[in-house]
Amino acid sequence: MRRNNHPERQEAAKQTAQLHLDLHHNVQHIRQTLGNSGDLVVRDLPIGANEQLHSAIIYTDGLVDTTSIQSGVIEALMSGLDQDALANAIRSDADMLNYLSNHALAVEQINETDTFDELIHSLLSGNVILLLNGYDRGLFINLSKYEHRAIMEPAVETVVRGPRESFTESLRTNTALIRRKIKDQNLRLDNRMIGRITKTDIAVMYMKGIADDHVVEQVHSRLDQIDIDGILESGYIEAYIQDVDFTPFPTVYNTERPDVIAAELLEGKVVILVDGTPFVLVVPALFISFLHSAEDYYQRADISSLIRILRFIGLFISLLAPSLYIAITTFHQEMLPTQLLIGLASQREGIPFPAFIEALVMEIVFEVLREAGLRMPRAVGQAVSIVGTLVIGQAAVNAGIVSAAMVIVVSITAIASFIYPAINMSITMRMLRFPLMGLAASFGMFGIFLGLMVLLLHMSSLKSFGVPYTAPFSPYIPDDLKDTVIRKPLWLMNTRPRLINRRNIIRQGKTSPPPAKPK
Amino acid sequence: MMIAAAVAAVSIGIALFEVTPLRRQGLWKELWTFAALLLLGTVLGIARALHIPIWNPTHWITFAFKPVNEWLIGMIN
Amino acid sequence: MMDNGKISARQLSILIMLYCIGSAIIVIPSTLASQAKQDAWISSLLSPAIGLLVLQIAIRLSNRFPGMALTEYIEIIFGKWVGKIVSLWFLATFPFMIGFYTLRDIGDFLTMQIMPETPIEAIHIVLFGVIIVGVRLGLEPLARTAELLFPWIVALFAVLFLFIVPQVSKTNLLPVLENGWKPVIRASLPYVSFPFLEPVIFLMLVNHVNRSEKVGRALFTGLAMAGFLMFITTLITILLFGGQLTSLFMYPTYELSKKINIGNFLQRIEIIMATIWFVTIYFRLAILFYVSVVGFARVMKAADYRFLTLPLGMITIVMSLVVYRNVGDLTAFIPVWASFAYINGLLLPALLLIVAVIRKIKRPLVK
Repeated sequence: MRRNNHPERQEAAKQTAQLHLDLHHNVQHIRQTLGNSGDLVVRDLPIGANEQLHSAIIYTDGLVDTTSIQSGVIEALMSGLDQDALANAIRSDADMLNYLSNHALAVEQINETDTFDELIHSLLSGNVILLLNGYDRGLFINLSKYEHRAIMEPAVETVVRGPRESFTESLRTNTALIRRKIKDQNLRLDNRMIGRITKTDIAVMYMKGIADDHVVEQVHSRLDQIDIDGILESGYIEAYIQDVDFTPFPTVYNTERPDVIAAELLEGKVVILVDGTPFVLVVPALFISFLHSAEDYYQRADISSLIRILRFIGLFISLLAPSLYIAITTFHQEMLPTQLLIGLASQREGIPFPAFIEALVMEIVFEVLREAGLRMPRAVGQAVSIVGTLVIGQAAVNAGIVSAAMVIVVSITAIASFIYPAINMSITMRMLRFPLMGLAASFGMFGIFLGLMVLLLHMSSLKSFGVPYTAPFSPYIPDDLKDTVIRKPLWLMNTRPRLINRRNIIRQGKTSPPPAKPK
Repeated sequence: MMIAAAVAAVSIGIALFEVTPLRRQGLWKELWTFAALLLLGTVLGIARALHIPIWNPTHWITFAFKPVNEWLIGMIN
Repeated sequence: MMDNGKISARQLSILIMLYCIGSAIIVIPSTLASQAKQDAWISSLLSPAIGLLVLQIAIRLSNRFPGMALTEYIEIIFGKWVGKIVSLWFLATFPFMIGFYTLRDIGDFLTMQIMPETPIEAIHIVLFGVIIVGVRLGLEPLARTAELLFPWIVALFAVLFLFIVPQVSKTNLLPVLENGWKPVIRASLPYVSFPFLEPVIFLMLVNHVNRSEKVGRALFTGLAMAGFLMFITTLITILLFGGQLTSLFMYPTYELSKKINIGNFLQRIEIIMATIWFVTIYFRLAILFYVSVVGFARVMKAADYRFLTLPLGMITIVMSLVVYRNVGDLTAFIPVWASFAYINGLLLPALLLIVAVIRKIKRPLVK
């Protein structure tokens, strides 16, 4: 267990951080430090037939497994001791604390300490403390058990085919889920604690020998630099370790699916688990990662490739559709087939607003509805948000405020924006739509071009932990393209992404045969 | 007039944006070059806004090269 | 901090290809056809060929100083102060000045053909704003974006050609060499100067390429590809419109793309084709400006180049509005420019090379 060096610690050191020899004093100190907390349980325990040793057991109710305490600690100390051996040890002035931990306590993890800080921290983390009168050291025993959510289906990343487990809020459960998928000795797990007050447990996992050591180092050093009072969600960590703050694009990927994490680990990425949230971070993350879904790998290659292409088209639609509508109807009417043009013109005839205002109003209304739909009580939420948009849209058309074509464009845009497997990218695209609309209204297609150029230039300048964000399109790595907009069949995927790890590129032997031809 | 004022405003904006980091880093040579070029740009901009004729490199090059050009064409014909 | 970006040889060739196609693609068939009529396609083969020959001089020069930028070895060859003056002259009259004309090219095109009611100043300011953003970000993002967009450009060209070819008539090429070779050669000369004498500018970027021995080949490939694409464009334009008509258009390739007709359904999509020229002109301008700004910063030995972008940008925008009043002026200027370009494009590198050879100057062993 690592400790962070913070100014608070120096203050604590000013107080007496060491335990005293007097049991009563120690117990009082702990009680006072915790403000006589209501869920603190102290149990005095005399040990030995003649009550030679006075000890006390302290734990926090709700964080510990009371059954284990009874059997492994209390019973073991009260009735499980060989009284003669005990008397001999006391007479020979042996270290009783050691004696008890070696011969009496029937538990797995025992640690020893002589500072109050460590003791209290362990107490608050679900440990049981054993203090002995006349010793200035204490034992803490990990018997934590607490209520947590069972492993259920992922809330946001559902697939049609594939495992339905998702991470939970408990760090240990999550690491176990990953270990179940990767049973290799090279899977490394580094623990740390971040957050001065929350002291949240964080775990960094990676495959030694596949992941780039520089990246691992970078991750560790960036985590070291975090100095905040509390980490409540992995989003906090993401904000601190990402490469660039001033960008709408996410450079850290997150997921709640263990199979995705396992796949990323196999590719040589580094994952960060945070206790208290099921969303696990993955670095480095490239633009293309946000367009991939786990299901792409479980379905056949041809279907997956087509669906990925569809997603790519959805990307363009959700970003550009309103802007294109505005640009074409305002500046470039000649592009539309004549009949469509006449239809559109007649629709737009009674509309008091220019196309830009129309589009802006509709988009904002839709965004409001979408956000509201998220917060509404479950029964009402779905219905209101979908029906609401169409109904409001229809009413607006009838009132002559917007044209029907506009409602269609906005609806298609909105639906296309749900096509992203990764929500953080979808939020980005939602945001970027609006400036593009403004540019389209001022300069038509040229404006859209300018906006896209700024976006592309910006994306090209981003790096995620040293890997260019727009790889493998640029820098052009033809071999890595097998898993971007298309997905080659598994027997062709011989190598890992080249920029994520430099060595250990071969993933499978060349002898993997293509499927046998039918006779 | 309005446009000339707008040009001046933009110049001031640019100056505010760039001067602070330069001063902070103590880059005096760069600061002076920046100021000179910005001044030149502003002067040109205001002149253009007020429709004052500006030196035109096209004229200079044409002036200098017309004879050369004619000679070359003569050669080819 | 000066730009430490590294680009690959492939990115360099893409950049030079986009650069050369730049603003030439919109107008070249008509400037060629005005002299050579239906033989313009022959001119469009000659010019890149001559350009490639001239490129050899530049490549030789660059190979004597591998991994160094032009301004650096100008100072070595001519001495520090004379070198600085020569560098400044070069930068001011080549990349910086060409930038004025290029910006004006696209501004004219947009206001004449697509958005007549938009003031040209607005277009210049907005476009150059994005250029400044690109240049400030550095060479690497610029090169990467070019690499990203390259397949789309090729695809759009392919669409253009595919859908026009059914409409062409071969007889428009006849009679071949009706007036002999003289008009063909006369037509090809200005086309050599603009853009094919300009790759000297790329010698400023050499120190950013991560494998400097590949520079020569990259420049050659890029130039050749640009020449090839423009040859096909010219050929198809003549095939479709005939020599006489082509010479009358101001923007023949734009007219060409107006003719695309897919199943009588998708027509008049020329604005999508215009995106090709938006992209190529963008990179042309970006490189011109980048070279000017970074070159100037190098000569000045400044700590960074970014602070120069805004004032130099301002000057460029204003000058671009000033340089000629109307297209007639421009047409008169083109042949004059053609001769002028030889100074910086041919004489300078040749002179540098000759002096370097005579004085046996090569890149110093200690870099």
